[in-house]
Amino acid sequence: MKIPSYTQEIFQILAKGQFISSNGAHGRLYDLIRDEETFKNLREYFSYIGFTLESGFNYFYFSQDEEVAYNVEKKLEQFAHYIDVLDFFSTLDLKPLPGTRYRTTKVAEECYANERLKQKITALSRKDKLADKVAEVADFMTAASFFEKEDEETYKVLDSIHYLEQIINLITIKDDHEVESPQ
Amino acid sequence: MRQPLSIKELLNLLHQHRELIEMLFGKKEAVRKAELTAHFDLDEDKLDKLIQAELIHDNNHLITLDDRIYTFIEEILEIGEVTTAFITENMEGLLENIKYYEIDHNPKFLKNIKKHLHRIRSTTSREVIKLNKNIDDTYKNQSNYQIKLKELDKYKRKRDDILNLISETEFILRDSQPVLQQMGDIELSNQLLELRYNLVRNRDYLHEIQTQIIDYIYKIQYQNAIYKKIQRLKELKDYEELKYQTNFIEVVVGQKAILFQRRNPYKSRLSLDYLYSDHGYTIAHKVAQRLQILRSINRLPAGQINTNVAEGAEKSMQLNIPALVQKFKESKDDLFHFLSTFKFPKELGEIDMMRRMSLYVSISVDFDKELDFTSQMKYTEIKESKKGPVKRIGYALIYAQKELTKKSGKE
Repeated sequence: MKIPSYTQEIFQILAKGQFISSNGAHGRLYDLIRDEETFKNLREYFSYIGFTLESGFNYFYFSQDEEVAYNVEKKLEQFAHYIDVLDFFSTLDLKPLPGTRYRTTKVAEECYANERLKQKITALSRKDKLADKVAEVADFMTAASFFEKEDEETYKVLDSIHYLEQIINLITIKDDHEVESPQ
Repeated sequence: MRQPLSIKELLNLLHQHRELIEMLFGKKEAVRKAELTAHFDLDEDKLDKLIQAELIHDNNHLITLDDRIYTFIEEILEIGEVTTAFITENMEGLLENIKYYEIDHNPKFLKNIKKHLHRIRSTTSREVIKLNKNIDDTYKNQSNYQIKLKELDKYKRKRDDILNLISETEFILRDSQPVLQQMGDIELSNQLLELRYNLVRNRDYLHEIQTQIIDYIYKIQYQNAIYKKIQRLKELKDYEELKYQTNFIEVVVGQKAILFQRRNPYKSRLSLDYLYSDHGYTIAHKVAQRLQILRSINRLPAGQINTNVAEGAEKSMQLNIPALVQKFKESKDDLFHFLSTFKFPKELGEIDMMRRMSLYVSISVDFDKELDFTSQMKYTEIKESKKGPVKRIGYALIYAQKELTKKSGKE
């Protein structure tokens, strides 16, 4: 089995729970992993140390069989928070599609003009200024590698956002119609 | 009255003002005259010349590029809106000229037929390429999803239009095949063959485009449904119904991505082999120097056993005063200020002002030969304890002896 030289770099990113997206700063790594042979080798290699290299639509991530006693509640809370954040971004004029760029001042302006958005962002951040609130939420998404910070106030949505969409898609609401996946 | 331009003059004008034209083309909107003259260092005369040639227009001091220049650049570079007008125009021209040729076998009509055939071929290919580019561009860059859907729908119709035109062209070609064959022109037959091949290829391409448009539209609709679902979930969450109305728990618990797992910070121990290496030695040495100020009491020769063992353990770290003095000599500070601001290692615990003052006294007595006592005094305010009253005290400025400092520097 041939293990590529950039394996360490990949491990360091993925082991932090982050994603490697095709349209992010780690796009170079994405292109390397995408190679069928490399992917197969890396997947096998990481499996020996308990990580599963998973591939999504234009992104890669690690999964791991968790310990039984892991705090389920915490996990639910965590994802519930993502629902809040995604709800905010999907209510904006600019939808969180891969490649979308958010400028904090522009988003803040939109929130200023729209009472509903203002309430949503206020519930998400305790910062004083609207732009700072938006930045805080965007930083949260950046830390989890769903967004990428391009400059002081611009954030770009990465392909990994599909991961969250996939989970949303898996959830079924009673008496609601299912969303069909395009794939 | 406008002076007619020769080709040479026109090309020269375009070349001379290429940067201006590029800017106007890029901006796609009117630019203020003053801005232009300042930016390109132009005088009004030159600008007037361009206006007179109708390459640009001046509307109330707002300058715009002539539409024909726009179209020209867009056509050549194969960018801009998809239009079927050119194909239709050439098809009509082709039909007309075939009819004329049937009446009068004039080589002029044959030449026109060839021209139109050539143009149909190039415009069809060009429009198909543009269509593909624009669809991709719309899907990737149009941020408003409603406009995105509408635009894609528009391109879907354009695709149908082009496809129809291809069929029509093929029909004309089939219909007038006898006449065209009769002409017996080799160049024409080659052209016809190429055109037919070209049309088939473009049709295949358009079918591919169709699948792509449908795929894009589908994805957008899916995306939109997802956003609606997120908002619905948020609503349920706000009503605390997420757990009861959905299988939220089941789905999220099933997620195995590390993102939702407890993170293990990966800590590793220093490799002993590394510490034995040259590089490891330098690092260990550096750390040792930093810790020099600390001296472990354990290393002292064994004395009487301390009766209070617990206390002994607590104070196992003591100040290494000679090392402290050495640090002082390296600084250019006066002794009192040095001691009152020195950052002692954390292991020593908090060193209060009284302790620092007693250090000042003991160092000035024990190391008097290495110090330079000046007759200057300085005053400062201190508190004996945290809640105690503020006291004003005076102290002598003591510096390290200069010669000694130099010597120690040489060592």
